Amino acid sequence: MTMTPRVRRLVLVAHVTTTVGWLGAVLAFLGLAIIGVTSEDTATVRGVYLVMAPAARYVLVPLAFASLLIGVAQSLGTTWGLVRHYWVLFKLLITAAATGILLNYLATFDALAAIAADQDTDLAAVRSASPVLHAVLAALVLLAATALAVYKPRGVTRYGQRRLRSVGDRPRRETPG
Amino acid sequence: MTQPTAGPPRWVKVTGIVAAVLAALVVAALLFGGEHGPGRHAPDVDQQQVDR
Repeated sequence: MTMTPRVRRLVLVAHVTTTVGWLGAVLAFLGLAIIGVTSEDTATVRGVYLVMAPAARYVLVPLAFASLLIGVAQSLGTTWGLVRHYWVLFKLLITAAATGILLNYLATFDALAAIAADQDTDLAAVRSASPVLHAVLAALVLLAATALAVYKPRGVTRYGQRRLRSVGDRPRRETPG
Repeated sequence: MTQPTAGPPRWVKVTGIVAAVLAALVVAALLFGGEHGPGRHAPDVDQQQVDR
């Protein structure tokens, strides 16, 4: 089903907002993670890991799912389709993988928060480079997804080629993010 | 008669190979690089007791 131009623009705004918002939230987490491994202040270091767990649940996870689901709906609602163009397919795979890894990483956020909450634990044991590494990788992956959406490199999948031949379904100015 | 389908463009092949190599490295690190996950961040309780 193809969306009307008005609905398409509305969904595009939602998709760009959630995707770029997710990237911004990841960069904020990177800042927190760097503070966690560099700050000399005990309360600040413990606070960083205590706030990461709920912030991931209430900010990162909703943005990730919103970006993924709105992106899928947008692709299916335009002639770009979900698996007709390689860049759309790659972006879908990147977003789905990043969401899955984020969900898996929530347990690590909880473990880091539990360690930070234990006042008997040494500060050196509270600090962790893991969130720095994961935030850097997440930012790079989400930047790649954003670049794919902007540049839209050419390339039609086999399914897309068959579809083009059968119905002549070419994308026009309908942008899925 | 059906028309032949064109193969994937070069950027898809290059990106696919790079992604496959990175995925293989990550899998290898997970399998052979020791524990990965929340347990990795748990402090060594015995070591802490020794330190005190």
